[in-house]
Amino acid sequence: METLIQGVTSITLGQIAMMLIGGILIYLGIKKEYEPTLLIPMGLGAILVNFPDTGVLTQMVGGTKAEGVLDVLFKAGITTELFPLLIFIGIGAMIDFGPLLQNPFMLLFGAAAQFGIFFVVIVAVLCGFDIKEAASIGIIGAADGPTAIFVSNQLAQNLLGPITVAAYSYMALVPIIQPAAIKAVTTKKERQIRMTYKAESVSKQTKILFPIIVTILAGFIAPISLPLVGFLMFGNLLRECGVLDRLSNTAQNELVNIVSILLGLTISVKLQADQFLNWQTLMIIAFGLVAFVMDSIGGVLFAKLFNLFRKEKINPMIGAAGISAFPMSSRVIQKMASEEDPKNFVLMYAVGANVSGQIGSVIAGGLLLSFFM
Amino acid sequence: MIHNLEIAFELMGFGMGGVFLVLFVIYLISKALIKIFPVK
Repeated sequence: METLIQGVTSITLGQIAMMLIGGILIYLGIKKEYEPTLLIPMGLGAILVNFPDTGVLTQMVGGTKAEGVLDVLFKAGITTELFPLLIFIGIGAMIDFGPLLQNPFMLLFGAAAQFGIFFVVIVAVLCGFDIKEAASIGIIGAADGPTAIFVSNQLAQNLLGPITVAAYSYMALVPIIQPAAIKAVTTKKERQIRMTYKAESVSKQTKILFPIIVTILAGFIAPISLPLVGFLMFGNLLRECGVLDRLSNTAQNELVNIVSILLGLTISVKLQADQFLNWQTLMIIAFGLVAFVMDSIGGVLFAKLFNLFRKEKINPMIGAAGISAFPMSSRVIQKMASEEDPKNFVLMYAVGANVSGQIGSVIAGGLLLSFFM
Repeated sequence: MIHNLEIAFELMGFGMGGVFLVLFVIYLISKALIKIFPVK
């Protein structure tokens, strides 16, 4: 009888709290559809890893060490960085760089909207985190889950759990965060600026050469970012080369789906009560919000600065689309533009900036790593 | 903390400068590709 109720008697309040947090993640995934592909596996994973004495995690059984299945997956997929990189192949295959190549100056917004990353590094240091932990927290501002996992796994593995939860949660909250941040630094008149759509025609050769050249460039300038950039661009090459449609479809669907299942479950290893429930976690969640807000503000202010030197003004909201949360951010910008002026169509510019944010975020992640290596 | 703060500011300069540099080079490459390989 004692054995039967051991599970109930040995559970702690912290573990029960983590199971409730797991339940909240599942609720947000299902009911609110906030990043369900990650939040639902993570939610159930949070419940799994907080039962005491289960075979899910590594434990001692009769004096011998029995490896838990989630620990095995963690070593295989997260410690080696394999899962985030495989997801990048799928993301690369999903991205059409066409809108960006049609207006290449949008690339600069993908750089400006990384401001939140570095701003939060300073804030985190001021709040007492060491510099590597602060850099890992800052990467939440990349608005890119796999990059956040890749960087924090190398710089501060102890913070991987809260950083991943914050990164994916705020990506899902972009439609709430960005409008408030943008309105705080723009006037109605600025948000009403219309942009006539002008686009360069992009040939097939350009679309094929683009991922190859970006890979080579990243290899020379920021070699540590090469796994991220290289896998992203490999996925894109599968898409654009025109002879590997089957592989491109597999990367976009089966590969991303399988790895997302494993990634979500595996990350939950870091959602154990004794590692997650502390003040640091609450601070990281708060800093994540600051990072997203400052990304948006950085992008908008850069666009306003750009406008000082341009005859044809840019709608400054486009700057905020330079974060990596694709395609949500560009949709938010178009929705805001339509609300201010129903005839204002800025979507293609916003998509260009948003795609550029994807490149900017992986480069920023690589630069953070190379700074410390 | 002051030492970490100095590094954090240095990181901001290095990071933002680096991202702008890389993306500006990609911008130039994109312009060149569009010129060299126009749509027929």
